[in-house]
Amino acid sequence: MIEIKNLSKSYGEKSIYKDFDLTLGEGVITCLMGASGSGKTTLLNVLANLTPFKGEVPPLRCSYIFQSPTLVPNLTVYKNLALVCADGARINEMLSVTGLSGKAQSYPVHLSGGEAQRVAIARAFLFESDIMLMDEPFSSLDVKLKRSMYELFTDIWKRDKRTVLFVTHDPDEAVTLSNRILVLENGKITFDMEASGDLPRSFEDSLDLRRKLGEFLLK
Amino acid sequence: MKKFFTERRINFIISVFAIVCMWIVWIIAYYCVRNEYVIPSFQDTFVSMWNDCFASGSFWLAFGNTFWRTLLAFFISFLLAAALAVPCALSKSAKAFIMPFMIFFRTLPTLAVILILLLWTNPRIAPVAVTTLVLFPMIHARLTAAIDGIDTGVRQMVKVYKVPSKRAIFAIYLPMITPNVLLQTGADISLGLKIMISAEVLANTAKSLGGMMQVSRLYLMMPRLAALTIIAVLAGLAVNAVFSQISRVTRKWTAKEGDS
Repeated sequence: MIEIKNLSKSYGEKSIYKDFDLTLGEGVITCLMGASGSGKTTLLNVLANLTPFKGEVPPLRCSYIFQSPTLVPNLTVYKNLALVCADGARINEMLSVTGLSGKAQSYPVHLSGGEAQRVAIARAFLFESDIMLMDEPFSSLDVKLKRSMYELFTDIWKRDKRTVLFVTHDPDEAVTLSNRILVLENGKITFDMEASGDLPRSFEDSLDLRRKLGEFLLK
Repeated sequence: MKKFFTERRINFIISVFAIVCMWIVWIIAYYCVRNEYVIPSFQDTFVSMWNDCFASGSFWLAFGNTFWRTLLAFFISFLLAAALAVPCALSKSAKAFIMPFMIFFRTLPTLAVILILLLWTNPRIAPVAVTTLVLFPMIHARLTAAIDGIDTGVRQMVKVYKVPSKRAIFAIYLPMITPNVLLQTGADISLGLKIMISAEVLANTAKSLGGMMQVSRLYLMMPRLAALTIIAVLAGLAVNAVFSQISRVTRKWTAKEGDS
């Protein structure tokens, strides 16, 4: 379990969080939604220690899938993964699982958007971390590609069941990918719903979840 | 026919045409002015280029000295610039301290500096020093911009994934700024060559291209002066071309497939 206590964070005079508490369950994929500027990315950056803050946040080893893949342009796909993992066998296995074996010696400039994001996902899973953070990782992908990414992500996640906190604006993504959905407003969690079931959740299985989330978001 | 005349080939032909135009303008100007001491003839310049330069051992010694001094000045400038660019990129306070010095060096009048340095040093050292002083702030500005331009996302990724600092610098940051640095290095050395020759002219440096130009001027040897000038221009172009080719090594990770 990961506990955040009394988190306070401001940008200038604008307070984002004040005495904010949150507990993230181990092995749970938690989705964080909220309006732009509500502090979603800030929370991820606090957990990753990328921004100063006040409060009690445990020191964590984090994997982070950014909104854009942030691959090192002068390193091949293989060497990008080798930055976070020294085990060649694990890297090759991950390349195989993500369908990137044929791209191992390619440079990021030669990858499509989907391929680059797959490398970012592979990198995140290869790094041995306490929590995986994702900041709208699939927002730049088309619908069909998103669906295949959901399958890929959950397929790999099921092998190690890491704690995940991801941010999205997309309610479809939230109900498809997560065990728990949170909505952040004015530095507080105003919606907190847990959901069981196999991931990625099919449309039919997510109907109840969609209805409840939709009722809240549209009120 | 259409395949032979690709866009690249057409642009090359246009560039060659531009050079031919320059040559024609020279010939026309010569015949209009009709004064060897103002504009030398193309034939005399060409003959001088061979007799006084390419076939002359003293020319090659002078050329070598000038080129070596230029490279030395560039090397010193680059090391100094790199040493100061890193703290500037890492710390705003360091940048605030260093920037006034850079502005001072950038605005120093070059000729005045040469004259001062001639008093403090000698005709061999002064041109190196002044070339260093001119190149150093330019290279510093470029390196600082290149380091600042490293993608923030990559920097965050390096921090999150705890990539060791040494590995981050040598495997990530330095290669990321290399394409820009290599591309500009040719231009920097070419500029350095121009400044070096100017300084050598003023300092009357022995066994140097600038010294040869100064002697040519004193004895009104216009074809020789023109020949030395053309050689200096060609040397600058050659340096640019060499580094342009060297920078192509970075194309494997910067150019998309199909880019020329």
